[in-house]
Amino acid sequence: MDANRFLADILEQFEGDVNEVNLDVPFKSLETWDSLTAAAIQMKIEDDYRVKVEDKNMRELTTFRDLYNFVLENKK
Amino acid sequence: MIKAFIKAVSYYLPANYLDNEELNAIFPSWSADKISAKTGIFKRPIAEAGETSTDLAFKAATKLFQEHTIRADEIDFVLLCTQSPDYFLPTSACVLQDKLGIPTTAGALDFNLGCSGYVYGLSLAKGLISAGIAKNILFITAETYSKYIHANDKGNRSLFGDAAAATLVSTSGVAEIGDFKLGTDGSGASNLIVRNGAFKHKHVVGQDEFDQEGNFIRNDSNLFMNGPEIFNFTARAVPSLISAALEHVRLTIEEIDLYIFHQANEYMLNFIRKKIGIPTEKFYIYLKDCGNTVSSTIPIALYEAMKSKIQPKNKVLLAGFGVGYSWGSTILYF
Repeated sequence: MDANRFLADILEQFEGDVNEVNLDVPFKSLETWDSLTAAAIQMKIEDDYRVKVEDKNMRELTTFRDLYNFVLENKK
Repeated sequence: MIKAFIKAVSYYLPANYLDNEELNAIFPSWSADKISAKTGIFKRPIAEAGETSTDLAFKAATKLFQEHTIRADEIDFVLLCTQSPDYFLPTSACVLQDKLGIPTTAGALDFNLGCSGYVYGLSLAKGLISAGIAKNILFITAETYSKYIHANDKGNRSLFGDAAAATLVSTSGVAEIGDFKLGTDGSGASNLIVRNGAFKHKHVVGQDEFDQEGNFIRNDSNLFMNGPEIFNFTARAVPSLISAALEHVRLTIEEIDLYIFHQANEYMLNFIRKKIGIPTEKFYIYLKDCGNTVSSTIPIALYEAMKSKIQPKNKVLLAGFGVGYSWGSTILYF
Protein backbone atom coordinates (compact mmCIF):
# COMPACT_ATOMS: atom_id res chain seq x y z
CA MET A 1 0.00 0.00 0.00
CA ASP A 2 1.80 3.08 -1.28
CA ALA A 3 1.93 5.97 1.22
CA ASN A 4 1.97 8.70 -1.42
CA ARG A 5 -0.96 7.17 -3.24
CA PHE A 6 -2.84 7.00 0.05
CA LEU A 7 -2.03 10.65 0.79
CA ALA A 8 -3.23 11.69 -2.68
CA ASP A 9 -6.52 9.81 -2.16
CA ILE A 10 -7.12 11.54 1.19
CA LEU A 11 -6.06 14.98 -0.07
CA GLU A 12 -8.61 14.65 -2.87
CA GLN A 13 -11.29 15.11 -0.19
CA PHE A 14 -10.00 18.62 0.61
CA GLU A 15 -10.83 21.63 -1.55
CA GLY A 16 -8.26 24.28 -2.39
CA ASP A 17 -4.47 24.15 -2.61
CA VAL A 18 -3.00 21.07 -0.94
CA ASN A 19 0.38 21.08 -2.73
CA GLU A 20 2.50 21.72 0.38
CA VAL A 21 0.86 18.99 2.42
CA ASN A 22 2.94 15.97 3.43
CA LEU A 23 2.25 12.91 5.58
CA ASP A 24 3.32 14.63 8.80
CA VAL A 25 0.80 17.46 8.56
CA PRO A 26 -2.14 17.22 11.02
CA PHE A 27 -5.13 16.61 8.76
CA LYS A 28 -7.53 18.61 10.96
CA SER A 29 -5.34 21.70 10.54
CA LEU A 30 -6.16 22.17 6.85
CA GLU A 31 -8.25 25.23 5.96
CA THR A 32 -11.24 23.37 4.55
CA TRP A 33 -11.41 20.62 7.18
CA ASP A 34 -14.87 20.07 8.64
CA SER A 35 -17.23 17.25 9.59
CA LEU A 36 -18.08 16.57 5.93
CA THR A 37 -14.39 16.16 5.09
CA ALA A 38 -14.14 13.67 7.93
CA ALA A 39 -17.14 11.71 6.60
CA ALA A 40 -15.67 11.72 3.07
CA ILE A 41 -12.29 10.46 4.31
CA GLN A 42 -13.91 7.70 6.35
CA MET A 43 -15.98 6.61 3.37
CA LYS A 44 -13.04 6.75 0.93
CA ILE A 45 -10.95 4.57 3.24
CA GLU A 46 -13.81 2.12 3.70
CA ASP A 47 -14.49 1.92 -0.05
CA ASP A 48 -10.91 1.72 -1.30
CA TYR A 49 -9.00 0.13 1.59
CA ARG A 50 -11.79 -1.84 3.28
CA VAL A 51 -10.94 -0.43 6.72
CA LYS A 52 -13.56 1.10 9.00
CA VAL A 53 -12.33 4.30 10.64
CA GLU A 54 -14.72 5.12 13.50
CA ASP A 55 -15.50 8.66 14.63
CA LYS A 56 -13.43 8.09 17.78
CA ASN A 57 -10.46 7.00 15.66
CA MET A 58 -10.77 10.22 13.64
CA ARG A 59 -10.73 12.20 16.91
CA GLU A 60 -7.64 10.39 18.21
CA LEU A 61 -5.52 10.34 15.01
CA THR A 62 -3.57 13.49 14.22
CA THR A 63 -1.41 13.39 11.09
CA PHE A 64 -1.94 11.90 7.65
CA ARG A 65 0.76 9.41 8.60
CA ASP A 66 -1.29 8.38 11.66
CA LEU A 67 -4.21 7.70 9.30
CA TYR A 68 -1.95 5.77 6.93
CA ASN A 69 -0.55 3.62 9.76
CA PHE A 70 -4.04 3.00 11.13
CA VAL A 71 -5.17 1.71 7.75
CA LEU A 72 -2.01 -0.43 7.36
CA GLU A 73 -2.55 -2.00 10.78
CA ASN A 74 -6.23 -2.72 10.21
CA LYS A 75 -6.17 -3.81 6.57
CA LYS A 76 -7.20 -7.45 6.15
CA MET B 1 -50.21 1.74 -21.67
CA ILE B 2 -50.68 5.46 -22.19
CA LYS B 3 -47.25 7.06 -22.11
CA ALA B 4 -46.44 10.09 -19.95
CA PHE B 5 -44.24 12.98 -21.02
CA ILE B 6 -42.70 16.08 -19.58
CA LYS B 7 -44.14 18.78 -21.82
CA ALA B 8 -42.92 22.01 -20.20
CA VAL B 9 -40.90 23.24 -17.20
CA SER B 10 -40.59 26.70 -15.61
CA TYR B 11 -39.41 27.97 -12.27
CA TYR B 12 -39.66 30.97 -9.98
CA LEU B 13 -37.08 32.35 -7.53
CA PRO B 14 -37.96 34.98 -4.91
CA ALA B 15 -36.50 38.40 -5.63
CA ASN B 16 -34.22 38.78 -2.59
CA TYR B 17 -31.01 36.86 -2.04
CA LEU B 18 -28.74 35.93 0.82
CA ASP B 19 -25.22 36.02 -0.63
CA ASN B 20 -21.87 34.86 0.77
CA GLU B 21 -20.75 38.36 1.72
CA GLU B 22 -23.83 38.78 3.88
CA LEU B 23 -23.27 35.37 5.46
CA ASN B 24 -19.69 36.35 6.22
CA ALA B 25 -20.93 39.56 7.88
CA ILE B 26 -23.20 37.48 10.14
CA PHE B 27 -20.62 34.71 10.76
CA PRO B 28 -17.18 36.41 10.65
CA SER B 29 -15.10 33.20 10.69
CA TRP B 30 -17.06 31.79 7.73
CA SER B 31 -15.43 33.59 4.80
CA ALA B 32 -17.17 34.08 1.46
CA ASP B 33 -14.43 32.06 -0.28
CA LYS B 34 -14.77 29.20 2.17
CA ILE B 35 -18.53 29.10 1.66
CA SER B 36 -18.32 28.91 -2.12
CA ALA B 37 -15.43 26.42 -2.04
CA LYS B 38 -17.30 24.09 0.28
CA THR B 39 -20.84 24.35 -1.08
CA GLY B 40 -20.51 25.60 -4.65
CA ILE B 41 -23.10 28.26 -3.77
CA PHE B 42 -22.71 32.06 -4.11
CA LYS B 43 -26.26 33.22 -3.34
CA ARG B 44 -29.63 31.79 -2.31
CA PRO B 45 -33.10 33.24 -2.96
CA ILE B 46 -35.07 33.81 0.24
CA ALA B 47 -38.85 34.31 0.32
CA GLU B 48 -40.21 37.48 1.93
CA ALA B 49 -41.73 37.33 5.41
CA GLY B 50 -45.28 37.08 4.09
CA GLU B 51 -44.43 35.06 0.98
CA THR B 52 -45.34 31.39 1.35
CA SER B 53 -44.65 28.28 -0.69
CA THR B 54 -48.14 28.59 -2.23
CA ASP B 55 -47.25 32.11 -3.39
CA LEU B 56 -44.08 30.74 -4.99
CA ALA B 57 -46.08 27.88 -6.51
CA PHE B 58 -48.58 30.33 -7.97
CA LYS B 59 -45.79 32.38 -9.54
CA ALA B 60 -44.07 29.29 -10.97
CA ALA B 61 -47.33 28.06 -12.48
CA THR B 62 -48.09 31.50 -13.95
CA LYS B 63 -44.62 31.56 -15.48
CA LEU B 64 -45.17 28.07 -16.92
CA PHE B 65 -48.46 29.15 -18.50
CA GLN B 66 -46.92 32.30 -19.98
CA GLU B 67 -43.61 30.81 -21.15
CA HIS B 68 -45.21 27.83 -22.81
CA THR B 69 -48.61 29.22 -23.87
CA ILE B 70 -50.66 26.94 -21.67
CA ARG B 71 -54.18 27.84 -20.52
CA ALA B 72 -55.32 27.18 -16.97
CA ASP B 73 -58.47 25.49 -18.31
CA GLU B 74 -56.31 22.79 -19.97
CA ILE B 75 -55.17 21.48 -16.58
CA ASP B 76 -57.05 18.50 -15.13
CA PHE B 77 -54.88 17.72 -12.10
CA VAL B 78 -52.75 19.74 -9.67
CA LEU B 79 -49.95 17.98 -7.76
CA LEU B 80 -48.08 20.05 -5.20
CA CYS B 81 -44.97 18.86 -3.38
CA THR B 82 -44.13 20.90 -0.28
CA GLN B 83 -42.99 20.49 3.31
CA SER B 84 -43.86 24.08 4.25
CA PRO B 85 -47.57 24.33 3.37
CA ASP B 86 -49.74 27.36 4.04
CA TYR B 87 -52.02 25.38 6.38
CA PHE B 88 -52.26 21.98 8.03
CA LEU B 89 -55.57 21.93 6.17
CA PRO B 90 -56.99 22.59 3.65
CA THR B 91 -54.73 21.18 0.95
CA SER B 92 -52.61 23.93 -0.60
CA ALA B 93 -53.17 22.46 -4.07
CA CYS B 94 -56.90 23.16 -3.64
CA VAL B 95 -56.12 26.79 -2.84
CA LEU B 96 -53.87 26.92 -5.92
CA GLN B 97 -56.60 25.50 -8.17
CA ASP B 98 -58.79 28.40 -7.16
CA LYS B 99 -56.07 31.06 -7.48
CA LEU B 100 -54.96 29.83 -10.89
CA GLY B 101 -58.46 29.53 -12.34
CA ILE B 102 -58.09 25.81 -13.03
CA PRO B 103 -61.45 24.07 -13.71
CA THR B 104 -63.30 22.69 -10.71
CA THR B 105 -63.41 19.33 -12.51
CA ALA B 106 -59.68 18.96 -11.85
CA GLY B 107 -58.16 16.80 -9.11
CA ALA B 108 -55.67 18.30 -6.65
CA LEU B 109 -53.48 17.07 -3.84
CA ASP B 110 -50.38 17.92 -1.80
CA PHE B 111 -47.67 15.46 -0.99
CA ASN B 112 -44.96 15.88 1.63
CA LEU B 113 -41.47 15.08 0.39
CA GLY B 114 -38.24 17.03 0.14
CA CYS B 115 -35.22 16.27 -1.99
CA SER B 116 -36.77 13.16 -3.57
CA GLY B 117 -40.02 15.04 -4.28
CA TYR B 118 -39.55 15.77 -7.98
CA VAL B 119 -38.89 12.14 -8.90
CA TYR B 120 -41.82 10.94 -6.76
CA GLY B 121 -44.09 13.58 -8.29
CA LEU B 122 -43.19 12.38 -11.77
CA SER B 123 -44.03 8.83 -10.68
CA LEU B 124 -47.45 9.93 -9.40
CA ALA B 125 -48.09 11.96 -12.55
CA LYS B 126 -47.09 9.04 -14.75
CA GLY B 127 -49.46 6.81 -12.81
CA LEU B 128 -52.34 9.23 -13.30
CA ILE B 129 -51.63 9.50 -17.02
CA SER B 130 -51.15 5.75 -17.55
CA ALA B 131 -54.39 4.94 -15.76
CA GLY B 132 -56.28 7.46 -17.88
CA ILE B 133 -57.15 9.53 -14.80
CA ALA B 134 -55.60 12.75 -16.05
CA LYS B 135 -54.16 14.15 -19.26
CA ASN B 136 -52.52 17.47 -18.31
CA ILE B 137 -51.00 17.50 -14.86
CA LEU B 138 -49.68 20.69 -13.31
CA PHE B 139 -46.96 19.33 -11.02
CA ILE B 140 -45.38 21.94 -8.75
CA THR B 141 -42.56 21.69 -6.24
CA ALA B 142 -42.50 24.64 -3.82
CA GLU B 143 -40.41 25.09 -0.69
CA THR B 144 -39.52 27.73 1.89
CA TYR B 145 -37.01 25.95 4.14
CA SER B 146 -35.65 29.40 5.09
CA LYS B 147 -38.67 29.78 7.36
CA TYR B 148 -37.59 26.69 9.31
CA ILE B 149 -33.92 27.65 9.65
CA HIS B 150 -32.56 29.29 12.82
CA ALA B 151 -30.81 32.64 12.38
CA ASN B 152 -27.65 31.23 14.03
CA ASP B 153 -27.53 28.11 11.88
CA LYS B 154 -24.53 28.89 9.70
CA GLY B 155 -24.52 25.57 7.86
CA ASN B 156 -28.16 25.41 6.82
CA ARG B 157 -28.36 29.11 6.00
CA SER B 158 -25.43 28.59 3.63
CA LEU B 159 -27.09 25.73 1.81
CA PHE B 160 -30.80 26.23 1.36
CA GLY B 161 -32.67 28.52 -1.02
CA ASP B 162 -36.42 29.04 -1.52
CA ALA B 163 -38.00 28.35 -4.90
CA ALA B 164 -40.83 26.78 -6.82
CA ALA B 165 -40.84 24.91 -10.12
CA ALA B 166 -43.80 23.98 -12.31
CA THR B 167 -43.87 21.07 -14.75
CA LEU B 168 -46.60 20.08 -17.19
CA VAL B 169 -46.84 16.30 -17.43
CA SER B 170 -48.98 15.24 -20.34
CA THR B 171 -49.81 12.55 -22.92
CA SER B 172 -47.30 14.10 -25.32
CA GLY B 173 -44.21 16.25 -24.86
CA VAL B 174 -40.45 16.64 -25.19
CA ALA B 175 -39.35 13.79 -22.93
CA GLU B 176 -40.98 10.45 -22.23
CA ILE B 177 -40.90 9.52 -18.55
CA GLY B 178 -39.37 6.07 -18.16
CA ASP B 179 -39.40 3.57 -15.31
CA PHE B 180 -38.68 4.33 -11.66
CA LYS B 181 -36.58 2.95 -8.87
CA LEU B 182 -37.60 4.19 -5.43
CA GLY B 183 -36.43 3.69 -1.86
CA THR B 184 -37.23 4.62 1.72
CA ASP B 185 -35.45 4.28 5.04
CA GLY B 186 -37.28 5.87 7.94
CA SER B 187 -34.50 4.93 10.37
CA GLY B 188 -32.80 8.10 9.15
CA ALA B 189 -35.75 10.33 10.02
CA SER B 190 -34.10 12.17 12.90
CA ASN B 191 -31.11 13.25 10.79
CA LEU B 192 -33.07 15.82 8.76
CA ILE B 193 -36.00 17.06 10.75
CA VAL B 194 -38.07 19.89 12.18
CA ARG B 195 -38.98 18.14 15.40
CA ASN B 196 -41.51 20.48 16.97
CA GLY B 197 -44.66 22.15 15.75
CA ALA B 198 -46.74 19.34 14.30
CA PHE B 199 -48.63 16.79 16.34
CA LYS B 200 -45.80 14.68 17.77
CA HIS B 201 -44.38 17.63 19.74
CA LYS B 202 -46.97 20.34 19.26
CA HIS B 203 -46.46 22.54 22.28
CA VAL B 204 -42.77 21.99 22.96
CA VAL B 205 -40.69 25.15 22.66
CA GLY B 206 -37.20 24.36 21.42
CA GLN B 207 -34.04 25.52 23.21
CA ASP B 208 -30.86 26.67 21.50
CA GLU B 209 -28.12 24.03 21.87
CA PHE B 210 -24.42 24.82 21.48
CA ASP B 211 -21.22 22.80 21.26
CA GLN B 212 -18.17 23.21 23.53
CA GLU B 213 -16.79 26.00 21.32
CA GLY B 214 -20.04 27.94 21.58
CA ASN B 215 -21.18 27.11 18.04
CA PHE B 216 -24.91 26.75 17.50
CA ILE B 217 -25.90 23.14 16.88
CA ARG B 218 -29.68 22.94 16.92
CA ASN B 219 -33.02 24.06 18.22
CA ASP B 220 -35.77 21.46 17.95
CA SER B 221 -38.24 24.04 16.67
CA ASN B 222 -35.97 24.65 13.67
CA LEU B 223 -34.56 22.59 10.82
CA PHE B 224 -31.84 20.20 11.97
CA MET B 225 -29.57 18.36 9.54
CA ASN B 226 -26.83 15.95 10.60
CA GLY B 227 -24.39 16.64 7.76
CA PRO B 228 -22.06 13.64 8.16
CA GLU B 229 -24.97 11.20 8.57
CA ILE B 230 -26.71 12.57 5.49
CA PHE B 231 -23.39 12.32 3.63
CA ASN B 232 -23.00 8.68 4.68
CA PHE B 233 -26.56 7.82 3.70
CA THR B 234 -26.27 9.54 0.32
CA ALA B 235 -22.86 8.11 -0.53
CA ARG B 236 -24.21 4.61 0.12
CA ALA B 237 -27.77 4.84 -1.23
CA VAL B 238 -27.21 6.79 -4.44
CA PRO B 239 -24.61 4.52 -6.12
CA SER B 240 -26.91 1.53 -5.41
CA LEU B 241 -29.87 3.45 -6.78
CA ILE B 242 -28.06 4.29 -10.02
CA SER B 243 -26.90 0.67 -10.47
CA ALA B 244 -30.43 -0.59 -9.95
CA ALA B 245 -31.92 1.99 -12.32
CA LEU B 246 -29.45 1.16 -15.09
CA GLU B 247 -29.68 -2.60 -14.61
CA HIS B 248 -33.46 -2.39 -14.83
CA VAL B 249 -33.29 -0.89 -18.33
CA ARG B 250 -30.11 -2.75 -19.32
CA LEU B 251 -28.07 0.39 -19.89
CA THR B 252 -24.49 1.12 -18.92
CA ILE B 253 -23.25 4.29 -17.21
CA GLU B 254 -21.85 5.45 -20.56
CA GLU B 255 -25.18 5.10 -22.34
CA ILE B 256 -26.80 7.82 -20.24
CA ASP B 257 -26.17 11.23 -21.82
CA LEU B 258 -26.71 13.39 -18.75
CA TYR B 259 -27.13 12.85 -15.02
CA ILE B 260 -29.16 15.39 -13.06
CA PHE B 261 -29.01 14.65 -9.35
CA HIS B 262 -30.68 16.55 -6.55
CA GLN B 263 -28.36 19.56 -6.08
CA ALA B 264 -27.62 19.10 -2.37
CA ASN B 265 -24.18 20.70 -2.25
CA GLU B 266 -21.28 20.56 -4.66
CA TYR B 267 -18.86 18.79 -2.32
CA MET B 268 -21.16 15.82 -1.77
CA LEU B 269 -22.19 15.71 -5.43
CA ASN B 270 -18.58 15.49 -6.59
CA PHE B 271 -17.83 12.73 -4.10
CA ILE B 272 -20.79 10.67 -5.34
CA ARG B 273 -19.97 11.40 -8.97
CA LYS B 274 -16.44 10.02 -8.52
CA LYS B 275 -17.70 7.06 -6.52
CA ILE B 276 -20.16 6.05 -9.24
CA GLY B 277 -17.69 6.83 -12.04
CA ILE B 278 -19.71 9.40 -13.98
CA PRO B 279 -17.54 11.67 -16.19
CA THR B 280 -17.73 15.40 -15.27
CA GLU B 281 -19.10 16.43 -18.67
CA LYS B 282 -22.15 14.20 -18.17
CA PHE B 283 -22.81 15.33 -14.60
CA TYR B 284 -24.95 18.46 -14.49
CA ILE B 285 -24.35 20.93 -11.70
CA TYR B 286 -26.53 24.01 -11.24
CA LEU B 287 -26.70 25.51 -7.81
CA LYS B 288 -24.34 28.44 -7.53
CA ASP B 289 -27.08 31.07 -7.84
CA CYS B 290 -29.93 29.31 -6.09
CA GLY B 291 -28.47 26.86 -3.58
CA ASN B 292 -30.29 23.75 -2.46
CA THR B 293 -33.95 24.43 -3.26
CA VAL B 294 -35.01 20.98 -2.03
CA SER B 295 -37.62 19.44 -4.38
CA SER B 296 -37.04 22.15 -6.99
CA THR B 297 -33.34 21.49 -7.58
CA ILE B 298 -33.94 18.87 -10.24
CA PRO B 299 -36.56 20.75 -12.30
CA ILE B 300 -34.50 23.96 -12.11
CA ALA B 301 -31.40 22.10 -13.31
CA LEU B 302 -33.49 20.33 -15.96
CA TYR B 303 -34.86 23.65 -17.24
CA GLU B 304 -31.33 25.06 -17.51
CA ALA B 305 -29.95 21.89 -19.11
CA MET B 306 -32.76 21.90 -21.66
CA LYS B 307 -31.60 25.31 -22.90
CA SER B 308 -28.53 23.92 -24.65
CA LYS B 309 -27.05 20.87 -22.97
CA ILE B 310 -29.73 18.27 -23.74
CA GLN B 311 -30.15 17.12 -27.36
CA PRO B 312 -32.94 15.15 -29.06
CA LYS B 313 -32.64 11.38 -28.45
CA ASN B 314 -30.69 11.99 -25.22
CA LYS B 315 -31.31 9.81 -22.18
CA VAL B 316 -31.27 11.85 -18.97
CA LEU B 317 -31.17 10.16 -15.56
CA LEU B 318 -32.75 12.04 -12.65
CA ALA B 319 -32.00 11.06 -9.04
CA GLY B 320 -33.46 12.63 -5.91
CA PHE B 321 -32.42 11.66 -2.37
CA GLY B 322 -32.60 13.08 1.12
CA VAL B 323 -35.02 13.84 3.92
CA GLY B 324 -37.00 10.81 5.07
CA TYR B 325 -34.78 9.14 4.15
CA SER B 326 -36.35 8.92 0.72
CA TRP B 327 -34.81 8.39 -2.71
CA GLY B 328 -35.78 7.70 -6.28
CA SER B 329 -34.67 7.87 -9.87
CA THR B 330 -36.11 7.82 -13.36
CA ILE B 331 -34.84 8.15 -16.91
CA LEU B 332 -36.19 10.75 -19.33
CA TYR B 333 -36.08 9.91 -23.03
CA PHE B 334 -35.83 13.05 -25.15
